[in-house]
Parts: sequence; structure tokens; C-alpha cells
Amino acid sequence: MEIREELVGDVVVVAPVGRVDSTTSSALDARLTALDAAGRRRVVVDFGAVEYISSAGLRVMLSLAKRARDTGGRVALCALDQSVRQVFDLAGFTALFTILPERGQAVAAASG
Amino acid sequence: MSHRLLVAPPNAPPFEHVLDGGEVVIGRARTAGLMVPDASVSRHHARLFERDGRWWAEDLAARNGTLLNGVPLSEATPLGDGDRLQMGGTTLTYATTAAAARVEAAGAAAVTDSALVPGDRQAARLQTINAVHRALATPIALADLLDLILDRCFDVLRPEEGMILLGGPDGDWRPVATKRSARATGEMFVSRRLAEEVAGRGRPVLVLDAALDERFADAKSVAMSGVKSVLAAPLADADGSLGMVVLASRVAVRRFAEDDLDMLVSIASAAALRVRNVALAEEAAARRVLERELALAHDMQMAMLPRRLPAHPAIDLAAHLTPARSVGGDLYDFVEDGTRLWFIVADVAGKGVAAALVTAVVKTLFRAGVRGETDLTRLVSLMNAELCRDNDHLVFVTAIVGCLDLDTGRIAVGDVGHNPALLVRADGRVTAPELPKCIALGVQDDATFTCGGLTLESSDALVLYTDGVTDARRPDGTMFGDARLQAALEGAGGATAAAVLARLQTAVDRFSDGAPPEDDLTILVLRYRVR
Repeated sequence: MEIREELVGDVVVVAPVGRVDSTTSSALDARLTALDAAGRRRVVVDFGAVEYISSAGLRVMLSLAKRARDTGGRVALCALDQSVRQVFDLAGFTALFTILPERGQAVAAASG
Repeated sequence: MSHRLLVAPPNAPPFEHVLDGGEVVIGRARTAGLMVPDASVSRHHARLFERDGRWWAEDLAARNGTLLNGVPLSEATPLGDGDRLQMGGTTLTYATTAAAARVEAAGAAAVTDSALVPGDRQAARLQTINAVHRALATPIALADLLDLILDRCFDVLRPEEGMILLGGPDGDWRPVATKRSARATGEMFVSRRLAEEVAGRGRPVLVLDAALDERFADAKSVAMSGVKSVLAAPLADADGSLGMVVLASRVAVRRFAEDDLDMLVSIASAAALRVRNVALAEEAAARRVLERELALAHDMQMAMLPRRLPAHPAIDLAAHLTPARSVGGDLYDFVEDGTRLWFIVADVAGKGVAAALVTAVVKTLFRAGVRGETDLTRLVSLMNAELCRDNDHLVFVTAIVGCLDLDTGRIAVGDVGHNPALLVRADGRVTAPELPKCIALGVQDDATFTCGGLTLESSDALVLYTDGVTDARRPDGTMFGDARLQAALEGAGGATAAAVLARLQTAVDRFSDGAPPEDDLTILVLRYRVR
């Protein structure tokens, strides 16, 4: 899958494109894990170009949140469309993440 | 400027012939201007002549023909520095400068040992081809086969380094086996252009001097590897090219000739068919292992489903799980306990055997938990605590767990991260009962859970399902979604549980239009009727 990446200050903004499902989620997981290995602990995941996320994608987000908790990193999510937001809501994951409408807000939250 | 030919006959030491006088005929006849001691060369084989300051070569209708740099010489052609003429077993290299001649001399010195004992050399080569054929006939793993091919190439062609490249899934050529002699120095020779020519187009190539041969002088590859003589042959069979074998040496150590290339082409073409077969067999074996694993996961999962649904006058039940091929982890189960009916529909996030194992754990926790339990919230909390324990793989489970009082129609329901339950009223209305939303199981060990409740009237049907229903896609990618789910259930009021299930299943099947399910799809319908 296409995953765009941009560095804003000390925050890495990762923007996957398309569907984050059981086929594509491992690529996103690999990218986020690599950022962690590179010491990048302030991460924003921008869902602006994501049309669908499955439970496999939620696992990747869960894993990102757990790493951040273990290493003192900061994570924020942004630009979830209604259907993606609903998947987070259904699984009860909304409370686990800082979820903001705009990328700028998410970057500010992650750089805190 | 001096013009010379370095002549390397098969059964005699190489020698140099200075080109002068404007013309020379090459052949084995005593009358030839340049006499070559080679029985496979015609009496008057070819002619070199000077015109407009250049030397040209033309074939004199020789029986075995003349090759210029491996290509049949069909008309008079001007020669360039380093060009090689092949006549029978004899190679003639054209050189215009003193510097080129020195390089030739170094190369000639290096090959002298083999050139002097041609009978032994030929015998060794035949033995090698035999050894390769014998080895190819025995069962061998692909990696061993590739190593063996390189070993044999080293035995007879004595390069400093060798590499086999095979086609990757993206159409690129990637190294899969390498071998180097102890005396090899510097980076190994790799050229993308060479791979395109040899593996891509199926053409064997003899590069006299990688630094001078512009075709393959990728600036980087040559700068890194120094001046090398390179032999490369495609691994190709009737079905196309699989890759190539490439051998290289520094020119001062070993300079390859046309008959070396013939040898490598022989080995490579014999090996290609076997490489194809072994690669296919290994791919098929890997696929079988994967398929066995998927089949095992599928069997484990299906074995966990109840063989029979509870039969009780107060209820009418129907449940069905359609497993996806690769992604799985759905589960449903029932436990009858006096006047209570416990039920669960769950979806484990994960796939294959790992998800099937967690599914088994969920079922066990559910079954063990309901024994003597009266409090649904406590059951859910216990299941969560167990699933959080040592959950290194971050496997989580969404579920609807419920307990129906068969006497009153009262249901306690816990929704832990799952798709909302739907209620189909006897009059056909479809509603989503207001239930507290809790986090999925296995995520937070200190999560608190709140369960809700509702009361079923006579003929009301509670419909539970997994996201395999809502996320089912038709071929154009559109998902089934909540609205179609609701529409499919509307008008199903009063129908039997089996009829409600069939109605929804049919709607999803029609919508998917033959697209294979990407996720397990589970539907459970619980209809209540007052005695």
C-alpha cells in the first residue's frame, strides 16, 4: 500500500492511502515499527486518505499505542472519516487514542 | 599506430601477428598469409584488409563460418579495438594500440597453462558436463542445486567469482547464490544492464573487458569491481528465462574466451530445466504447507461450533458461520443453564491458526465462566482479564455476550467492541437497542464493563452478526454496510429464525455477486416466543 510520510518538526506524520485491512496492514505495521526502531517516538497517523480500516488495522494502531506507552512516546490520530471513525467507536478504541479532526492539531498534540 | 592480431589456436600456444601490407588471408593452408594450426579452420577462411585507415574482416565462405564478437560475420565489417574473431577453435583478437596489446599479452600469459594441455582441458570439460548432468538427476534442494552449478563452473572455468541470479516476483533479477575464490578482491561484479541482456533477453555474453565494453559499464558496477573479464549465460528453457549464471575474473588473472562461453551455455541450459522443476516443486510444497495450515485453522474453528443448537420451547435459534479462506476468527456458542440461555458471538482480530487458537480460548473462557454464574458483567470482566494476560501479540476480541431468561424474555447483553445487535420486532420494525458500548476484550486489563438489557416480546428476533456481514464487498469494492443490513431485515417480522438468517445471508450473497468472502461471516438469530 502507499504510505506517505512527512516530518513536521520532531513529529512524523504517517498517511496511509486506501484500505488498511488484513492484506495491507502489515506494511503499515512495518513502517511504524521501523520509525520506533529509528527513535521516532512522536507519531501522527493521518487517516485523510484511508477509506476503510479492518480489525487487522486496529491491531496495528493498538500496537502503536502500546509501544508509545512503553517508550514514553506520543501518538495522535487525525482526519478519520465517518466510516473509519465508526470502526474505532465500535471496538471501543476511541478512548485509547487522541483523535483530532485536523493534521495540524494532531501534530501539536504529538509534539506536546 | 600498430595493428595486431593475438592468435589463440586450440592446440598451440598463442602468438601475435602484426598486420601490415594492406591485406592478409587467414586459413590453415600453407598459402594463407596467416596460417593457423587448427583443423576446424578452412584452408582460406577469412580475409582482413585495410581501407580508409581501418582494418576490415570478411568471411571467405568458410565451412564453419566466422564469428565477430560471437555474431556470424555476414559481410565485410570494420574492426574495433578488442574485437574477437572466432574461426573454428581459434580466437583472434584485434588490437590497435600498444596498451591494448599489453593487456592481451597479460591475458595470454594467464591462460597459457590451460592452452598448453588442450586434451586434458577438453576432458575436464566433458567430465564437468557429465557431473552436472548426474547431479541434476538426483533429488536436490534448490539452494544446493545452485551451489553445485557454481562449484562445477569453478572447477572447469576457474573464474574468481560467480553468481546466479533468478527472477524475483517483481520481474527483477536477484542474486540467489554466490561463490568467490580466495584470491578474488574488491566488490563482486554486478551489472543491471548485463542481467537485462542475458537473463532478460536470453543472450549469452562474453565481455572481454568490462571497463572497456560500454554495454555493461554501469559506472558504479565497474568502478567498484575493477577491470574484469565476464562470462554470462541465461538459465533458460522452452518456457523462458529463469535468470542467469555470471562468472568474472580480473583480466590480469583470467581472460575468458568463446569456448569458455560455449561451456557455460552448455552447463546453464542443462541446469535451467532442473532449476525450473525444483523451484516449482519447492513453491508447491510451500503452498501445500500454507494450505494445510489454513485447513487446520478452519477445522479447529469449525470444531468449536456447537453441533446442535439448544432446543427449548421458548426459543427458536439459527446460526451460521461462513469461513473466509485466509482470515478467520469468528465464533458463536450457546450454553443452556436451567432457565437461562447464555450465548456469544465473537470475532478474534487475527488470522489463521493463531486466531483459531484464541478463538478456542474464548470459547473455553465462555463455557467455564458461565458455570454457576449469574452476573454477565462479572463473566465479561473475567474473560477480559484472562485474554489480557501475556497478550504479547495484541490479539483482541470483539463480542456480544448475552444471557436470556427463558421464563421472562429478559436479556442481559454485553457489547464489547462489537457490531451493534439488531432487534427485529414482530411487526417488522428493525431497531438497534440502546446498549452500553464497552472496549473489546484483551485490550485493557483494568477496563470496566457495563452490560445492558432488553426484553424480548413474543416473536421478537435478536440478530447478532460479525463484520463479515457489513464489510462484505461486491466486485466493485462497495461494502454491504449498515443500511443494506437494516433493509434486508425489514419485513422479516414474525418469520422463523432460520428464515430471518436465510434472508440476510441471501442478501449478502447477492450483493457480493460471487466475490470470495474476505472475512468470516457469522449470523445468529435468537427468536423468542412466549409459551
